[in-house]
Amino acid sequence: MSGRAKGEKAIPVAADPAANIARAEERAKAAELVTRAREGDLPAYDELIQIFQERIYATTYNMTSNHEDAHDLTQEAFIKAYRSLPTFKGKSSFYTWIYRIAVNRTINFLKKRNRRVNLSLNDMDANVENNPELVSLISERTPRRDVNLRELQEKLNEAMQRLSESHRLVVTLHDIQGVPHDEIGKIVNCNTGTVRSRLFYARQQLQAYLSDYLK
Amino acid sequence: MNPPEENFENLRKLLELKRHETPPPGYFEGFSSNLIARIEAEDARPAPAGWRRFFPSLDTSPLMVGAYGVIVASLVIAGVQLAGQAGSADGTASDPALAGAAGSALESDAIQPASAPDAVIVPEPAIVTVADEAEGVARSAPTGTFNPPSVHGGTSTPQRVSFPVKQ
Repeated sequence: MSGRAKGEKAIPVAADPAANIARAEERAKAAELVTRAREGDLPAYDELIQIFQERIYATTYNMTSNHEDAHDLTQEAFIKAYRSLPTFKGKSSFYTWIYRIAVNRTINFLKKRNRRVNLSLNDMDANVENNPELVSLISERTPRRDVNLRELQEKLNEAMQRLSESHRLVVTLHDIQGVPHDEIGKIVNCNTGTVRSRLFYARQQLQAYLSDYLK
Repeated sequence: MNPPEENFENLRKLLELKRHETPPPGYFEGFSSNLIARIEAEDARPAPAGWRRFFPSLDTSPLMVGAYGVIVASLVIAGVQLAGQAGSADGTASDPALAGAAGSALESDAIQPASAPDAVIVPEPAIVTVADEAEGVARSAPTGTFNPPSVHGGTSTPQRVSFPVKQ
């Protein structure tokens, strides 16, 4: 259960001590804000939203590959969390709790959406040009970078949408957002071994779907 | 169970591309304030009054309105019918014929069948002979209840049946 697959050791976020310290500080602050928000302090909840909005949005966006759906799901998750604050016992961190709400709502949404996948992709930010690994990856494969970057993005999102929801979720949380295995286990309510196993099979499937771009 | 080792390095690089898919610039600037405004607006909305508090779905679904309407109408019709039946049973029905029938039924204090059969079949008592082996005496006794029909003749003549009696 404690082994690590070869492909996982390159993920730096989970093992970074500085990131762990920052995460602990963030959680302490979130706990204080939750206490205030439970007493009806809306500015405190505003601050909580600002801490987590980008990550929650990224989760819903990478799960749906649709900006408008991600926007609605993120809003719904934060409103649901605010309404449920009186029942929040604090057994898990707010971070885990809000993620769980967002993930559950997103999975319910995807089940209703069924197979009707309607991509509405965000543009790449300017930083993509500053990432040497990505630049080399794109320039190696594509002579016309501007056109083929968009094509690559679409293929990547289509491949993600072909994964099952549980497999897509672990790839989204771990490989894209850098959430550690144990945290993912808490969010999706399963053990770390199951998370690692799902991640492995999800990567295998993605590798097969994207074989043309991974030579 | 540990998954087997495999190299996903190129895939990891490719997935990094997804980190650069970001919403339009300034998207998150007003996100939290819009949400807080939405929460405040929901809180400021007056609570639904009366029955709407118990049936909030009526505000959103015309189908639910129809279903509730049918249920309420059915209950009213059933209630009226039950009230009418109860009135008849008490002898307070407005129709004198019905009232008379109800009254006579109460007077007779008996439940009568709606229509009597044309011929009442009274089974003939069968005679069963009990052979008392110990005494060697055959005794006959009508049972009054068991009279199996004849298979061949279709008549219901009494038949003698002997049963050995053990002591």
